[in-house]
Amino acid sequence: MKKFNKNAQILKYIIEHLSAKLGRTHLIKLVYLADYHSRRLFGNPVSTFDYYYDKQGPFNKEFYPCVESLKGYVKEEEINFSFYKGYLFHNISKKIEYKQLSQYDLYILDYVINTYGKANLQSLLEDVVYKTEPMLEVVKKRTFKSKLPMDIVDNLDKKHYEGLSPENMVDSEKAIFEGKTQPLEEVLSALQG
Amino acid sequence: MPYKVEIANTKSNNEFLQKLPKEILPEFAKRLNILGVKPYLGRSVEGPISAYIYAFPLNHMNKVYNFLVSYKINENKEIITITDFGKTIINYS
Repeated sequence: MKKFNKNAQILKYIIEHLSAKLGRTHLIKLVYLADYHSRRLFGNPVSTFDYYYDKQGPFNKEFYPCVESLKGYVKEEEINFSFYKGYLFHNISKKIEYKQLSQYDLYILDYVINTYGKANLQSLLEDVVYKTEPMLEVVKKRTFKSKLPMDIVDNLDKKHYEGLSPENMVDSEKAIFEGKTQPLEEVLSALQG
Repeated sequence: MPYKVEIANTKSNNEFLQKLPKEILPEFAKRLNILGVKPYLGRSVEGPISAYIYAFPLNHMNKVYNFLVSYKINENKEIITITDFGKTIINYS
């Protein structure tokens, strides 16, 4: 089985869930939002992309070779409009292994797919992407093409949980999903002997 | 009928409970069982991990334990599931 780097695995995972619903801009913005939320929650990004302030917000040209590496695993359909060319990604049923994606990465990717996957691109850009702190920072400084200071959002969400561990909470959600729960009384009675 | 109160069976939750002083377990259970009667007692947190956060203090042996738990509510099954535990200990001076 062909091996893919982590960024390619992320792109394939998103396209697999949103086949025929995304173009290039939408796809890279979803990866950006996954990194943004992962940094806020866990203090580290899902992908290894850096982001630069471009015409439609955060972008990195490394995205193109990454998409190219998925040839045969995703299909990029070219759509011709009157004044420009667009693209639409289709999933190809050929599977890849998501070995480099941790359960926390997958949790965030699922959240982003479910929350922003079907959003209108224009409102996603205006109401969400451009309102994230790293974008606000570069827009405020008018530093077009500069690198987005993603680390300014690291661990910001942790204060909402007052010191509880987001990682443990994700582990627990998985346990609940798998039916691995125990009645409180039973657990505490066992501990009391 | 009160909601059933459960604990997610994870390594970190089990380790946390194992380390609690046995003497406070009955009171600890009592405080968590309140959630079965008042499921929305905790503060709601929205975002990638939506949960409720509930804090309560317990006094034991000249110490104040400030406990904190996160929990999920399954309204259809009427179950509260504790997803994470945390605590700070303040010694009386």
